Amino acid sequence: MLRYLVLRLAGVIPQLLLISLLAFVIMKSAPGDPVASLVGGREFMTQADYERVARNLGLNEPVVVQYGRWLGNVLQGEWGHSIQDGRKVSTVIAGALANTALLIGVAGVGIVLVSLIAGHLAGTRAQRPVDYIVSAAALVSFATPAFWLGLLLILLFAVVFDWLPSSGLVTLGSPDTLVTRLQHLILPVATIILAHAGPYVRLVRGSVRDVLASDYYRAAVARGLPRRILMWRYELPNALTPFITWCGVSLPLLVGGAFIVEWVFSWPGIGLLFLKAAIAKNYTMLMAAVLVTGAFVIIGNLIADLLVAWLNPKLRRQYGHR
Amino acid sequence: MKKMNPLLNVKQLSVRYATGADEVRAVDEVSFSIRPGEVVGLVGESGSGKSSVAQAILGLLDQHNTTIAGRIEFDGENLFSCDESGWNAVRGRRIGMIFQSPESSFNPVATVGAQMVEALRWHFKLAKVEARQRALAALREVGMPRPEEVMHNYAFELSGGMCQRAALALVMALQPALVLADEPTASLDVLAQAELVQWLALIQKKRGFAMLVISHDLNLVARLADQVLVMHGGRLLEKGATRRVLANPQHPYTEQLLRAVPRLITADMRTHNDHSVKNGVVLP
Ligand SMILES: Nc1ncnc2c1ncn2[C@@H]1O[C@H](COP(=O)(O)OP(=O)(O)OP(=O)(O)O)[C@@H](O)[C@H]1O
Ligand SMILES: [Mg+2]
Repeated sequence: MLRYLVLRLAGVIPQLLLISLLAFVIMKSAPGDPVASLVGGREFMTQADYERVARNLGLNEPVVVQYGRWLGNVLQGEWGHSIQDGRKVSTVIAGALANTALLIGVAGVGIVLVSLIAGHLAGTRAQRPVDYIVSAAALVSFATPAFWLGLLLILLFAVVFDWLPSSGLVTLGSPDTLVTRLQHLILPVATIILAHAGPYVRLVRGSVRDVLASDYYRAAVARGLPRRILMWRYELPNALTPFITWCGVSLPLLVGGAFIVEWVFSWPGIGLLFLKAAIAKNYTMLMAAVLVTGAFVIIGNLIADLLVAWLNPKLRRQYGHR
Repeated sequence: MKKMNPLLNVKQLSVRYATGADEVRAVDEVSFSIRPGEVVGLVGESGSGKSSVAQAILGLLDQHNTTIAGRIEFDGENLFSCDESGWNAVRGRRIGMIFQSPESSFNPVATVGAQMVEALRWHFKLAKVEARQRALAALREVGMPRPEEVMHNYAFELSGGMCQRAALALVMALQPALVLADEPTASLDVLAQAELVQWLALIQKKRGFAMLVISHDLNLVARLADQVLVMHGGRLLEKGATRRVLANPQHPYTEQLLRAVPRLITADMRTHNDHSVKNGVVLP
């Protein structure tokens, strides 16, 4: 198992390098001018000032040199300062990452619970009313875009009923307690779960049906084992492997969805930061956001793969101690 | 031999599957009985409804697209009136079942030992250590080499023959009064087949449980069974003592079945005769 872990970890570094290089090149070739956007437009600066600022920021050098210097600094733990306001990138990113991790973490746990429970209910009661309801709901979820659902929920719960806050982490001028923080979490988390759970539910339903139709499940029933054992030792562990694999594979979709939701709900996470930095061509911030997102997805994938390997006796034996 | 009350009594059993608009009559008013300690062979070509009979006995048929009619009594009890906990007390513990493909009948994420211990603990309410001891004893009883090691093995780590013997041990550990064996040798190579049949015959003789052996291999049935049932298209065409049916078939279909394996049957009839006479089975 350790050997497997080391092998997989070694693969992460080239992946991150590739992501950063691609992001750098794309960003540099996109239209827009970071120096001009600092003062609101090229026409507000003299040519001499413009060149001085560009030189200070190292923007007059070839792209390859800029990338090399950026990479060298990052490897030394120096992420630079925001071109927009001079704040340390590492501080800003850390704060945003915590917010995004909270959002995706809570929503992820929600998706796992919803899809395992709904998938179990539909899979074990296939072609009965529960199954039809769950499957129809999954289809609706599959077809609903997150941003549209987010706006709908805001309209309903924040504007019409005024039960929940519609944006941000906290409401300015109101007390900041655990309860208000949770209230701010409800709508964005609900949006992610409702807009994303569909395919997960369908997958679990299918896996559960496969297990129930399997020889080993039938043999276990023929052995007189009670429901409790059939569910926890046969159905769940065997349905879990394809589910976790899919969780890993679909993580980029989920992160993308969460970024959109951050924008809809002004949730101060990586996604919102990314969007603002992209508009301002704030390349130090943008690169950090891309790299952190890439690392998040890659590490998530790695955890999923490790879990799958650990759940699979064949792989466990291959890399194990025995 | 004193005539005993039947252990299993199947009366007018019919099984129909709904497949879309169509309906398959898989089993059509089949009646037979098995006495305690008796081995009954059920033969017939593929699709004749043999597995459906076995699955009906254990209540394994999916109730959604299946219609069952008739009555099955086990030890005087009507099985069709069982609720869930009633079935759980019968399945495994009083009626065991051996399936055709040994590897796929084990949970892929649990060891052989874990599955034996799990079933033993559930049915006999045993402590873990005690369940382990009984599992080991059952593996030894079926002649499993290195049983301690096999306890820690997954099914994919065992050969087909070893796997089927582990499956046999799992059934035996629960000490059922009746064993349903649905094509137990069909997926094994010839050597493993011979070995399994040998162990099956030995243990059956020693323990004296009743058995329903399903097979299209007449050779296997001739070797093990006291009585033979011949099925075709869901109907029971012929039943009787093994020797009588194989030597003197009454139905043309049975004759046809026999002609398909002439050489093997004649070779085997001799051993079967010795065996059945020794057992004191009443021959016609
Ligand atoms: N779940 C099911 N749904 C629909 N039809 C089925 C189902 N199970 C069996 N059948 C049909 O019922 C008939 C009898 O099947 P069964 O499996 O009992 O036969 P069998 O004698 O055991 O055959 P084999 O030797 O191939 O195992 C077949 O025509 C089969 O196609
Ligand atoms: Mg069959």
